[in-house]
Amino acid sequence: MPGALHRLVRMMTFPELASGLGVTFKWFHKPKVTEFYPDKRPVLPYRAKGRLHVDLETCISCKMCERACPEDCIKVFQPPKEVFKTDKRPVQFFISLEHCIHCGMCVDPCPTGSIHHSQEFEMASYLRNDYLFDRTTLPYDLDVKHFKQGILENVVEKGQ
Amino acid sequence: MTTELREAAGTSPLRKALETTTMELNFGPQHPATHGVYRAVLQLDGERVVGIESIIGYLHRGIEKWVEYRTYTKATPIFDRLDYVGAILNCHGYVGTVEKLMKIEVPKRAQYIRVVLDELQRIANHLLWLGTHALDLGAMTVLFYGLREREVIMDLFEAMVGQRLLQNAYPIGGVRLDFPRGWERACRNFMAELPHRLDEYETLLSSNRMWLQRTKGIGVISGAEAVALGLSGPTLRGSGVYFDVRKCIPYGSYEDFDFEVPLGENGDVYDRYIVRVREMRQSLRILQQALDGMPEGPLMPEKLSKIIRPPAGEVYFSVEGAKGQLGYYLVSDGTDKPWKCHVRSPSFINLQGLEKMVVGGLVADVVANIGSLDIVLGEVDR
Amino acid sequence: MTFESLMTYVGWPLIKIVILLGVVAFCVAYTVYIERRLLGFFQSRVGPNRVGPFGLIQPIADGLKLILKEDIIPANAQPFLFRIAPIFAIVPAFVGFAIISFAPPLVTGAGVVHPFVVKDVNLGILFLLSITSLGVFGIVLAGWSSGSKYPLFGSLRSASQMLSYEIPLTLSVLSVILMAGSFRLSDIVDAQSKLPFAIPLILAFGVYVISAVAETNRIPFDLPEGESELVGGFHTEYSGMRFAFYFLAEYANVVLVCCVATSLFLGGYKIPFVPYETLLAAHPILVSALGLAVFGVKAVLFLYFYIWIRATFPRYRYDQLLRIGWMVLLPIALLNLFLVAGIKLWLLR
Repeated sequence: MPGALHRLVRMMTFPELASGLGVTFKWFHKPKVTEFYPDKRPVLPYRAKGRLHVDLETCISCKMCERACPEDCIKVFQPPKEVFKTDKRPVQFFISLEHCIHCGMCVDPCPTGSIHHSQEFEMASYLRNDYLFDRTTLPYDLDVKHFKQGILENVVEKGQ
Repeated sequence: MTTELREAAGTSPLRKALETTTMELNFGPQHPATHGVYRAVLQLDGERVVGIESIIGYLHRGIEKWVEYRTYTKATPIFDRLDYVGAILNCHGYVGTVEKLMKIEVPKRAQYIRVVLDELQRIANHLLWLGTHALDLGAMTVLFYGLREREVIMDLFEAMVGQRLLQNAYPIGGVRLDFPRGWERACRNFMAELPHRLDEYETLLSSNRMWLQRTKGIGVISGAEAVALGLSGPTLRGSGVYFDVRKCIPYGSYEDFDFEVPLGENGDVYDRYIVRVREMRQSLRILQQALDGMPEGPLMPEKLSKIIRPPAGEVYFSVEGAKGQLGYYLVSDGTDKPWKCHVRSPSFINLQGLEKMVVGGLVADVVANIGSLDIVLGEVDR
Repeated sequence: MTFESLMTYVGWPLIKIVILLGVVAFCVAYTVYIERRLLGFFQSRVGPNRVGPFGLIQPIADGLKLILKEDIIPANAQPFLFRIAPIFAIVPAFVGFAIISFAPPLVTGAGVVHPFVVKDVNLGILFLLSITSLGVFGIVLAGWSSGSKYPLFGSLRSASQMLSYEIPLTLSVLSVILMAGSFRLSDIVDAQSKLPFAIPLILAFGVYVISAVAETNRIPFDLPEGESELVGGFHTEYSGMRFAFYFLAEYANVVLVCCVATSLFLGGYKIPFVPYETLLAAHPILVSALGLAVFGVKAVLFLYFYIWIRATFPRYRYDQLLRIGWMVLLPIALLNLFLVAGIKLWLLR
């Protein structure tokens, strides 16, 4: 009988519901975890795989990244043979961020470390052209925030 | 109309007048509680479910075929897209399969790092599952609390491998990079905090009479039925069957760790829920042991050719994924591309238990059951 | 008919109605804001904070958006019923406010009294109960006329739920009427100048709170629109302003329930043991303002509790909900009614 009485008292007084209310009330007063993104920009860790950057000055046009890319979004154009002997920098370098899945598999095999992910993560754009990067738009400097877009037709012509 | 009434009416002319039909209710693919583009066609007798037909394939991306056109290395990131809330575990499964095929010995330290990331991913998956399952049953706040804790894990992943959701964490052979400085401390802080948060979720749910009424005795599936249907993971353990790939077919140094396999008793929604919550605590135990006993050593095997070209043959390897036994079957013909790939995806197979669980229940229980199965449609449809 | 009598019977009520409608619509819009904001706080986030300072212009932005949205009528729907159903939902919710006295009457000059109520009907409670139970028509019509299965389910559930919970609600209110000895809301408030009825009628208060949550279709009893099962419940097919009508009706009902609970159980604009009306009799405007503030604070506290419940609890299942209504709340309410009647008859004679 005491057991039944105890159960009845528990049923009528809602102790477990009250403790549940206590949990939500506790967090009512605690500081909130929301990040105010556009106002306060997050600092991404060093390894964050943001937008791909290529240092074209150190690139030796070995095409390792092109071969490693699972989405085939990298295209490297080597300079002509006689130039390549002395200057191995690519004549053209395309990265289509439209297809890039930020997997980091192009970064692993790069012998010079010239292709790497940056901490830049704001890549939304209204134009498809903005996602095709060539040697004029691939930055050398990580601090440059916004890049002029290349016009697709010109870019493709130059590359071919 | 209930069957009793129908039988009572017998063959009289009244019977024709009282004859009713079941109602067909289309549940999904756009529905807030189907966890993706899953579609169920329910046969309803009033609010009671008398039949269910699962229709899947809305998220079919042909990943298994896609892999046949990519080299072994290039195929790694695509498997993150199967179960996109437990991506590291998928990656481990695939990478482990290729390693088994090529008989690569993964260095001990790499194995331990994999265990750490795997268990963090398991916790992250269960936290998201807990939140969405609770949201299905109306408890909205647990979702936000769960996401808040999951966010810490995501930040840990971002600091460790650079991505938050689809990490592409492991290359074939080991791991890419060691823990960054301060990572272990951050991880331990999180591990110290999480048990208290889990207690809070249990205060909000496990003892709540509404939660108990919604989950206890709902969607019961017995151990024998669960085994017969091939269910695995927490869904199977909720029915009281002791099967955990980490214990039964140990891989990746899991035999080094001391942990329990939580089991349910009745095989209802509540048991599946409590098994997952306890599993998070066990994952914390594994994490603790892995971080404490982290061996020194290389991260990648010393002799590993750049081009992965396994010998001809076939291999099956499975890991304990977040949803259950996640198995990969690869057939190699000696080239650098797999000849055939098949994924035993736990979500797909667990989904078959749904009919046993929901028939005879109410519409509201369908939601509870789908939630308790923890399906991810990316993995069901592949 | 003289100008005075015209003003008394038509003019003043009309002015009051317009003011009340404006104030209530404003309050309801901001109830949505408060709810979202408080829910955010309970859930460890901040809630709407982008539109205007602290997100205060959010309700206006939402309203604008809903007005500008396309008004879709599904092909299967019955257009006439589909169009008028939201009106059935929103009108009772707003009409109910007519009988609530928000503050002590404003005394200007000798014997000239302006009550803070549109019409202090002497059968106020009955009027309120009957008007609010009309709201179910809007829901049933919406479900029936949408020509879709989810709304139909929602409306069927809603009809049975509202009918079931109307009874314990009414019984709990009846005990208040027994205590106060009047159906008039201002009399009931006056009867609580010593002690709010929530303390002697704790059982009735509990029953009222639970059935009020069920009546307004909120968690843990939000089955008619149980989002995870029925998508949107009875208003699944609605869009634009017609959806906004249901939304507003729901929140108007919430505010109404808070106001009624304040009047019936929490002592309305009275402060227990502080007869500020007589203390401040020299400043009638101050009395009314203070009364309004007291009423508002009590109603907002009740609303806070409402939102707190929503932030914490899961949802009941349909059959469990009806079982609670008929097998738990109804006996308790009946028991309470008999107890109160007995006490009133034999002890307080």
